[in-house]
Amino acid sequence: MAIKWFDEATEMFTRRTARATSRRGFLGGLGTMLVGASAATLLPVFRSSAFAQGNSALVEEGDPNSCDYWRYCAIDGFLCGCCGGSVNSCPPGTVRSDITWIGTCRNPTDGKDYVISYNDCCGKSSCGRCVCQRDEGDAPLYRPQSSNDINWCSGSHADMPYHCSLSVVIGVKE
Amino acid sequence: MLKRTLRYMLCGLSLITVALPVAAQFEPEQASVEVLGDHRGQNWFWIWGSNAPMMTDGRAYLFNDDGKSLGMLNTGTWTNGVIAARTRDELYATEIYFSRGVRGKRTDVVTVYDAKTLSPKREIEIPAKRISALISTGLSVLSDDDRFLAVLNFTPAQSISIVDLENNRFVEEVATPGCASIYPAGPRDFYSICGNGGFLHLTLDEQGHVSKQERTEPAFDPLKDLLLTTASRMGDTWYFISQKNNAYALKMTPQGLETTKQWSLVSDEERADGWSVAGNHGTALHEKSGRFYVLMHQGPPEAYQEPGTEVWVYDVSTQERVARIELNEQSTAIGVSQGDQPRLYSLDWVVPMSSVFTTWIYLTEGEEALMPLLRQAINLYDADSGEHLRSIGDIPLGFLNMVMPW
Repeated sequence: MAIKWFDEATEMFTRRTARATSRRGFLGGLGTMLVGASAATLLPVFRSSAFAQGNSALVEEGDPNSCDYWRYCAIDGFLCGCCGGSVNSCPPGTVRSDITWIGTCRNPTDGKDYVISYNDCCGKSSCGRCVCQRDEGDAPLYRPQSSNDINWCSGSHADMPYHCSLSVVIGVKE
Repeated sequence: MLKRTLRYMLCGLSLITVALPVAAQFEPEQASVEVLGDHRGQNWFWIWGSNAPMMTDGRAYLFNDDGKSLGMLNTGTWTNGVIAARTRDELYATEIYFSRGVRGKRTDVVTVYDAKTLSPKREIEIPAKRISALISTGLSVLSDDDRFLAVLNFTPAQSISIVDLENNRFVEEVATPGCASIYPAGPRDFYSICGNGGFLHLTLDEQGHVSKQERTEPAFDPLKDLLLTTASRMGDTWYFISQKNNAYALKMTPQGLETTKQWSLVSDEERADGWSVAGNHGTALHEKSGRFYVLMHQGPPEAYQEPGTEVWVYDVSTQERVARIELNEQSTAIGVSQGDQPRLYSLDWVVPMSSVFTTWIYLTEGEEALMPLLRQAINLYDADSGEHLRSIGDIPLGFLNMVMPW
């Protein structure tokens, strides 16, 4: 699932519109204008009221339920904060997987790189909200320690039904 | 009185004679159940995906060349799709079930389906360890003679279960530490791709027991360029693509593994422009012409699984690019049928409304407002000319990401 879906879609729409219409001048110009406008609105929205909870030593900014949030740089799944949990807690009645894949994300607030553990929450069917896929450092499943394509509920106490994914900060690169 | 009675009777008879032809024309319908004909040479194709968020209700859908739905299979929790036999009219699915939906006792089975009735014929229970993953290529594969099925397990210990389909029995489980997706290489040989860039070669005996295991030398450097597990086969050679936009031709035979060709999918200029591999299942191959199809887009390296906008076509004998096909929609998976008039299938993400409305929502509410509107569709193209043939919409939601020509 693309998260930067619109960038390429805009180009595709423009191309198709130009092919499909006899009024190429007008609609081609509209396409260009829209592409320009979209570039400006791609800037992330800062929401000062939205801070991650839990780790008092960690200073971070952004909306933990947005796929753009810094911790999600290597995630693939449904964000637990949209499913009854939070960025580092599983929703009620689910089971946290003990094993998982690891990513490294840069926190833009302090400029440091942190090790993120993407534990899954298991034992209920998939949440279905706030799907997010970002693949920085993602590897295919023959290197499972850094692969977000694998269902990490496999091996959990709840076995393999997958519900949502956490992003737990477990280390810092000083 | 008698006369009048006779007159009434005659009148009644005449009415019957008038009514009879009408009654004879009407035949009540009988409800029936469809049975498929022979799928070969018809350009039929299957699609599937994890079916998230309703993952306990895994499905595979079948369509014909005109875009008509021909039926479906129910294939358990987080399905990894179906495997088609070459020599029998059968399909196989390695399925996961829990006795209480998402809890209770887990049972993994290989279900054998009749290819014409799409009904289950029998089940073979296997260890309840089957892997579930986003990319389904190589997770359950058939030996070249259709006798044995190899099923990848992940608990997270990695192993492979061997199933004898002719004698309907699970044979054995073999530990395959550090290795994952499986590629058939003959009637009794499989290769499993491993974390060090090498492959684990398994050879079976006639009963399906592993008679030989050996690890090959690394075929690629996983610290420099990772092969994707999606790959397309031509004879004894598997064509892989990599995260850094290279193609690798790996010849896999019972005798061993050899890298026969390696080339860049992009020129230096295209690489600088950000052209790179895309999608979840982004390769396909037409065996007769030796044309290798790769889904591409422009994006940063970490976007290598995002949808593709073009399909680039390579001649595997020269490694030259012979065509670029612009797609109508954003594609997550491609497939190519065999035969003389091959189809290019593209499984796409779409917003099923005017681009003006889509743009308006994006500008006023942002990209996240568009995400819930995304649907999936299939587009068919002429695989030789790239001409768009038709679209199939209204595909049920379910994160579908695989096309299998049948």
